[in-house]
Amino acid sequence: MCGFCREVCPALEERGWESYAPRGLVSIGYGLLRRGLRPTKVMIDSVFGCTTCGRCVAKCPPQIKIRDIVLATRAALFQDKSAPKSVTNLLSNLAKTGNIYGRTRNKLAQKHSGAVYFPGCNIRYRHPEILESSVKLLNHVGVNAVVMEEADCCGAPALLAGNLGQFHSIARANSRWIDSTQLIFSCPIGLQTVIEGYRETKGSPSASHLTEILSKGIGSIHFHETRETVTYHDPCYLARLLKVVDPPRNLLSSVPGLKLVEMADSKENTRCCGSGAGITEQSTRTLSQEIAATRIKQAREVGAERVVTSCPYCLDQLRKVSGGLPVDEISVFLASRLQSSH
Amino acid sequence: MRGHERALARIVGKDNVSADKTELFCYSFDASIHSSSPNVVVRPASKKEVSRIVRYANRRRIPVVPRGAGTALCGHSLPWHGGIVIDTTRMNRILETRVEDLYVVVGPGIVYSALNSALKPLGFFFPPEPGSADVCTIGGMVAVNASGTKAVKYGATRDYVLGLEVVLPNGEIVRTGSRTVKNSSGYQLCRLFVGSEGTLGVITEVTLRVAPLPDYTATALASYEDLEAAGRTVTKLIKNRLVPAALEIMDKTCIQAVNKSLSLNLPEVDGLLIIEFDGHRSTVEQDMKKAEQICRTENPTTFTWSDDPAKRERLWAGRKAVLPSMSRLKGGQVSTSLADDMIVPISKIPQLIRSIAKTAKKQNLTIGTYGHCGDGNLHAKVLFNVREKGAWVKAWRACNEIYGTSIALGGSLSGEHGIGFTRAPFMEMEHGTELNLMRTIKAAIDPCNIMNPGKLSLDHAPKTFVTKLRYPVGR
Repeated sequence: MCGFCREVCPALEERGWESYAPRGLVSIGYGLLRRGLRPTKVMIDSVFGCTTCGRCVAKCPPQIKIRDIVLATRAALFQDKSAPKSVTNLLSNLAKTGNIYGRTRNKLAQKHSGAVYFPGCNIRYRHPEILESSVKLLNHVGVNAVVMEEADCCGAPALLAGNLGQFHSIARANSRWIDSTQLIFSCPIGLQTVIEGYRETKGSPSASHLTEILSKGIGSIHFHETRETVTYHDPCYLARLLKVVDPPRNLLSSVPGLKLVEMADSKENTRCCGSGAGITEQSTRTLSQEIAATRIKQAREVGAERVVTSCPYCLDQLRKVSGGLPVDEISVFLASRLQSSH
Repeated sequence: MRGHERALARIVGKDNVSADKTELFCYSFDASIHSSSPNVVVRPASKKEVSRIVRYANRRRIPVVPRGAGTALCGHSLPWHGGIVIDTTRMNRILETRVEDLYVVVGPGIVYSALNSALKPLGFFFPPEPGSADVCTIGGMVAVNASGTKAVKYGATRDYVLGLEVVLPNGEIVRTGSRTVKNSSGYQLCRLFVGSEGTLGVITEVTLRVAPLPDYTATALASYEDLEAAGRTVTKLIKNRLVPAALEIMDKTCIQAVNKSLSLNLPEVDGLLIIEFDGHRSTVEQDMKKAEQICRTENPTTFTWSDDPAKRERLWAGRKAVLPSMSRLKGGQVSTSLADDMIVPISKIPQLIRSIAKTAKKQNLTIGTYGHCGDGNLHAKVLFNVREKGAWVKAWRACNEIYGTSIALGGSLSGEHGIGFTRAPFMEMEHGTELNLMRTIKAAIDPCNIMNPGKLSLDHAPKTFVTKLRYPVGR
């Protein structure tokens, strides 16, 4: 293997060991699945330390499906009962309560048609302000979306932690509610999971990111003037995996007076925040925060006074290490600058 | 090895040593066809740490193998007999930059493109750019005397190494060369260490000459229905006193591979030439006009040139992706680094290309040919089902023929990738009695043979490269 992927891996950059290189992860998958290599601490740390950001896949000239190999390796480790406890705890919560935080609530059971906003666990329980702002903005552009009350989790934590059985059962259960709906997500992890992961269960449902819907109605939204230099952090799942890069920029550019600056690595070539959809953050916390700190450094290098992103996981991750640099989620940022008269 | 792991941890700290089986498995591969595992990996941060590691190993006769990014194509950085792998990537600092004196001093672990990014604002660069420029380390480049597309004008790594700091097998730290652009003081030992592939010591510091960045660059693409016409064009360009900054050739197999991998839509002809000139704008434009006239004498199907950086970058992305893209060309077939770096006198390129095609047909193998035809260096990638034992026999025969032809034409086994293990069986064919002199030098510097043993045919002459393969080979 050529090793060209070494250039772009955020985990390798922080750790340096070959086991963290995407090429190393491919070797580990091969060793575990084909050559009788047994799980070790290094294997578990590096396989779950991978943020699944997919930058290596985009770089790989023979287009090895490195991300898929990592997920298959995680599934094998999960089967072997070798997944980190911090990760399996999330899945236990998920099994008990339907969400990774172990929170209970009464769920409705009704089939929708039309536009449905799917918040996902993170936004529902940790960032209700994103839910509120997103619905407000959707209403502003004339989209009357119903909030999905029937399900909490999209299944991504199970898929990314390697419990494929649990993932498929969540996907099947959720599919009952999303038959003929236009799904709208603020969480790119949920969006990507539903588009890519539900294919087997459901075929790809019609699903969009909030910013895609809002940018279509950009003419009907008016914002207060702001004198700020803002940089936009592209979430890997949204920009690289789903190629949504322009809508959030169009929205930010429509705020009068806002100066949008680009970091060294942006759009499809974005640099990961280190969260790994919460999995890396749980399994290898120090590594994930080191990766986030490098991203914040890039934001400071271009003179940003504020970082705006469009993913609740990126938001939490970057805030942890931002050292006073404000970090906002895009719907909250936009909704707070909305002119009420319109 | 637990005792060794503990002892090495006392030198580099426990976070920088590993004997974990997963880690060792990852370090048992590079970009070659082979696999061989170390017993322990260390990641030192200083020459003093390297010296203590090597001294420790020498006393106990433990093999020591230096490794940079692990992009070597012939198993150079694999520990053939186990032992300690020294990963140099933590020693990645620029220690001194003196462009007014035309030099820069770096640690061996710095990545080539990182060095050039730092030199760019000063208007300078380190020219020998390998295909793996974005990941390979300077230490690795020195170890194999690496070069790349620019060698026709700018030369190879050896031409830029002004000084080295090397930890010898007994742990002693020696400095060779100087910080000057020329030097006539005694044996030029720098030139010996460059290309020694870790068999004489561990490089811990490199003083490199730097060159001014050209003001202007333009790149042409000439396509030919006949690969030999492309080869003849190369000879004509050189004979007519043109010195391109790069002069590359790709055959149809390679073009198809990169088109498939990167969707580049390059013309799928028999032979494609990439011709680049750099320098002052007026000179470059004049050279490009002359090159076009010469190219047209061999009836190209297309000739275009551009100075647009985006277009040029796209073209070069295609060229750089040839090597790793080849494996995608045919399902079930893997591109192997076999017979991949022959170099012949420039005018012999058409003859070598013809001979490679003949060998491919005879052995019923797919061989993609590309390379730096401007300096006579060709890369032939042999594609076959690596799980079939019979295919390896054919590949071995093909390599024997191709290397035999290259040497008979006045050439060499390797222009820029080095020997490692894969090419070691052919060293005798090229060097004859000279190999004995190399063995004498090796024994004088490394009497216990701890430094990267098993390579370059220095300790024993392997009969085949079909050994310690990374692939599971059936019957």
